[in-house]
Amino acid sequence: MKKKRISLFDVLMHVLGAALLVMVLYPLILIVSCSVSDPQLVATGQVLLFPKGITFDGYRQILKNKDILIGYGNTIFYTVAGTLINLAVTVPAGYALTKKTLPGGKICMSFFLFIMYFSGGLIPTFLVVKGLGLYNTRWVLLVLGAYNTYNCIICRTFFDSMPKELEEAAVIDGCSVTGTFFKVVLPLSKALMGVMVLYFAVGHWNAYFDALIYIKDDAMQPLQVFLRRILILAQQQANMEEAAEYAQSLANLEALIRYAVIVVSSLPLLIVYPFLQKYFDKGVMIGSVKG
Amino acid sequence: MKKKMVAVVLAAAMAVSLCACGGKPAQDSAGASESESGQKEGSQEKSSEGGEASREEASEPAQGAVQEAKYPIVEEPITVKGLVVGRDTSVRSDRLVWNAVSDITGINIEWECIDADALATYLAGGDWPDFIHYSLDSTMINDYGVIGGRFVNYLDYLEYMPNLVQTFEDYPLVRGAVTQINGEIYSLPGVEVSATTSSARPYVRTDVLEEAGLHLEDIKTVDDFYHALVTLKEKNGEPSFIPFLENDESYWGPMLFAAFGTLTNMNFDDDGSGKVIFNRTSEQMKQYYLYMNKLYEEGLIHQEYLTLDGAVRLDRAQSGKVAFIGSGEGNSLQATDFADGEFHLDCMAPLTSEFDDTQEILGKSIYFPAGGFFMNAESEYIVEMCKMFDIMYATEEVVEGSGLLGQSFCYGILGKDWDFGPEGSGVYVFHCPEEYDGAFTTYQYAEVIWDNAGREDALAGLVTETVGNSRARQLGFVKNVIPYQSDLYFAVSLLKFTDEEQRVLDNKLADITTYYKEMEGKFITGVKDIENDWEEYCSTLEKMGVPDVIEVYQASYDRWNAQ
Amino acid sequence: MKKKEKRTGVPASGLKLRTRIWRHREYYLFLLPAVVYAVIFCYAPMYGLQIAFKDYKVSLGVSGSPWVGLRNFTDFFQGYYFWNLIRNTLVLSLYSLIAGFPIPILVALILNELKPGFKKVTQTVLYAPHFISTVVVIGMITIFFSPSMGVVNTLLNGLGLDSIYFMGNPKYFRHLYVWSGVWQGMGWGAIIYLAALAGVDPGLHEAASIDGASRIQRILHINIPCIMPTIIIMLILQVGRIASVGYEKVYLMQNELNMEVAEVISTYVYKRGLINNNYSFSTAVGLFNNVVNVILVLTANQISKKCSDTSLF
Repeated sequence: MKKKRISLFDVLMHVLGAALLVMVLYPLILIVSCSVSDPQLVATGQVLLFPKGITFDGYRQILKNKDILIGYGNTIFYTVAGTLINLAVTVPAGYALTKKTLPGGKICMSFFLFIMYFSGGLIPTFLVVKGLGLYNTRWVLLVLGAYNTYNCIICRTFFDSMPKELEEAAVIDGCSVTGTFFKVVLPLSKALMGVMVLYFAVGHWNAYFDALIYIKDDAMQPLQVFLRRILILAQQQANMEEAAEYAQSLANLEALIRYAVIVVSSLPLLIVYPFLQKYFDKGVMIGSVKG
Repeated sequence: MKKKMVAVVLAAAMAVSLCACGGKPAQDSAGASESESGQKEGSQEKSSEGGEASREEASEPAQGAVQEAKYPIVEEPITVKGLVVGRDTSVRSDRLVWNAVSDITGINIEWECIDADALATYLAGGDWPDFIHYSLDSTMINDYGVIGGRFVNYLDYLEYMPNLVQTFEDYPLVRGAVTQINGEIYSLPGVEVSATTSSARPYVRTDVLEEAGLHLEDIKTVDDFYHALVTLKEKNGEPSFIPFLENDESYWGPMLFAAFGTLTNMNFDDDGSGKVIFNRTSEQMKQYYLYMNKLYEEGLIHQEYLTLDGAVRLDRAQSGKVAFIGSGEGNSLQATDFADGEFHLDCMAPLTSEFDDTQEILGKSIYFPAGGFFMNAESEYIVEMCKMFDIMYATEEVVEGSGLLGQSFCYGILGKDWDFGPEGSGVYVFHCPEEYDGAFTTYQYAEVIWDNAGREDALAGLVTETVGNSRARQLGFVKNVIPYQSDLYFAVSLLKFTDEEQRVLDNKLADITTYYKEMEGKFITGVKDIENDWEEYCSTLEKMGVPDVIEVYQASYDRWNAQ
Repeated sequence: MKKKEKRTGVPASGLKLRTRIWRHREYYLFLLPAVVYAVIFCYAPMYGLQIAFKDYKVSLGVSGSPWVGLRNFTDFFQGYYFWNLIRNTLVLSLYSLIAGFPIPILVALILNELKPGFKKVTQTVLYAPHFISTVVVIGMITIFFSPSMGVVNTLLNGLGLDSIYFMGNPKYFRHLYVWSGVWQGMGWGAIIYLAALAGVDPGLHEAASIDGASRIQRILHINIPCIMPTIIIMLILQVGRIASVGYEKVYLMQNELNMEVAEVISTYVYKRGLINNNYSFSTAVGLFNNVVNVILVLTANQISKKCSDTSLF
């Protein structure tokens, strides 16, 4: 039954929604404006909404670095391949853990929870990775983090909330466990998959620390490493005691680059999100359970 | 002996700077030879006992023929692997200086660059290059060097490094800096002595002063300074002083502190007799805080100086309303920031007060003593690399016409990138490629400079010929800051500690430092009252363990002095 | 593998066990990659935990480094400001949790009620702040709240009030820290609840509105209960992060004037690391943090078991 008239409630919700929007949109617009404004005006709080003293030096500084393209390419590869591996490893595990009758299921859960809280440390982990021959390869960023307990728990929670009748119906129809999982459970878990893809993909997209540690060759470095280098280089130059006579106030460029980096690195994610967003819409399960 | 050497260098710097003004040749003073333009006179004056006399001939130009016979170092070209940390590779792929080094030595270097965050795991992983150029922290040095024995002990190879031996004699401080707790030397020191090797950096925009009817030379006492700030505020409507006080060994802190008594170091110091003292609870510190608090309360210091962003500071510095500039923004001023396009930038000479009229301030005569270039003990080419690295300490061109000497590792090739100015002019000349449009420090930092190692004192006391920001500041230092630097420099950051001593420091120093800096901010801004809360402040520091820290420092310092 | 329980006592139940295992064999396959991963990349390096009890030197290796027992921990506990650190860390964490936990839920509930087009736009915009680096957020805060150039103080002055030096006043530190975090995280945090809401059967809503329930009643009695398991699990997981307050944001917001409330465990360890990088010490503090977190998680889990059907394990 569709509502024909707009209720007070609707209005209230939309007002609240708009308020949230403005609260968040304003600083975002500000960041974009700051990334193309004169750094002096930015720093003294004179850029309030629209850019002032427009300059593209921040972007120029970033984009003149050809490594950025390599970085983008690598990051896309790691994100796509990595997310697929993540899904393959983590989601089924989450499903398996929902089965209360699984012998040793509880032990397994503890097994996974333990690693969420305790870790051997950077150097021991590094030595293991090195020992496996993964150091400085394209595989290391795909393999590390293949399994994530936090996400696994989320999967388990979602699978738990699905009505059991669906699976029972499939089993009665003669479906194997694997078949049930792929043909019945997964198609109905679009929202969960949307979230998992988002979490994993963003994780890969923003990763830089593991890349710093485990990868040496620039040809394999992801985007964030290059961006971070540019930023740190600018910071160093800004802080150098002997620095003087910069042709274009390189010292100021650092502030500008900070903003530009955010835009450059998060723009693709913001563009992609609306496509994922439709999985979070209501009514994904319409018609699945009758009676 | 350390003090004597430092004094000689300072005397040389002073002599040269005085001569720079007068235009007289600076050949008289003993240490001035380093600033001679292009003349290859030996720097033998400073060496007393030479060690292997035959090796030292390398620095004498008359032995040019013998010198050339030393290069190339190897018959067949070899390649060694070197690691640099943190500095990007992509911009500095040319490595100008090292290319020249490879040319004359026959040793090629394959450079690898990693990020500072990746260093710990890289070293732990075990695949090491032939050498690592980075200022490793004491934990790593102790771990891999003292305990692990993975680094070459340069003391075993000094016969191949005459220039380094000479440098150790000329600068005993530097030798102490690189000597580890077990007496071995794993790294090569950096010795930078130049017109900017100054502790304080009290930048002043003299044009802003002049517009208010004030003259820098007239500001001699702390009261003069106070009155000047009052005048400036009345005229310009805003505080004319944005101090940067986070660094206790640079900018304004040491300079103003020193005016209120005979102490020069704001934290730990040598009282002159080898005894370690703590100055944060001294009467002098109290007077300094009282003075600064007065300036703050009367609005003469920018009220947000503790949180101001660098870009805001620069904006105020450029505005022409602020005369006394805090820190790095002094470096960033350009000619266009001044009304007439000329650089009215200077440094304020140390002030005097009713408590002290010596004008002596914190001494800091050398940059980068701790150095880098740790060599892998398992490398095949130790001797060859030692000979190659020795070039970094040469005070003369190692091969005639090559333009390569210690200073090259800071400024590039002598004759190509830079030159001494005419004799007695007190200047040096820097040749900057056109694409950098005169912004030579940008060029330097992008293409030329190698931090932390080498003997870079050829330009001590000289200022750049190129008119601009650097020249203005260098003149300021040479005239108003360096001559007042104390002979005594308590090199607390260069001390070495045993594991037990280090533990005491680890446990106490972080809290102590955080606390006294916190109280500094609170005393100056008036959040805490100096008179009422001083007792509590002192006793808190005592309870935190300052006496234990002093004990540890004393033990280490005694060892340092006994070297 | 740990899952195969061999000793079950009575042979009868053992037989049943083997059958059960065989019946569930495909599930074990589902778990296999994850377990292998955990064993190789998490459990194999786990010997590194010993570092907390040793004076670790890389050259000596973990086994070759000498034992020092609890020395690293006592060094930490005996620090002059230890209790301050604990207090500051806990306050920031709890405040962040209490303020920050409900908000993404509310945001998700609101977003769920919006028209599709508007919803899409708002969602996308809302989740963007998650990607802004901490440095920029702090930079913006410093400018906004600056006494001399910030909009906030301009507003205050317009209302006849004095300017406040927000960043330099310990009173405001926690509020600035927490609410900027809420702002930054609410869109991202709402995603999981939106996904949970997507699974709410619209049939329930139809039935309820036929029965005359208002929209608010429907939200309270249908939406919220349906996503309650998610909420509870998220809450338990969040509780398991209380002891961990990251250092970067706090470090950037710290200054000499607000230090007494702004020094937390992670910034202290970081500063100590700058003076001397003692790997054993930082491992020990990390272990301490983790143990505290585990205790909190177990407690939260027990409580949730008693109060509801959902629990972590």
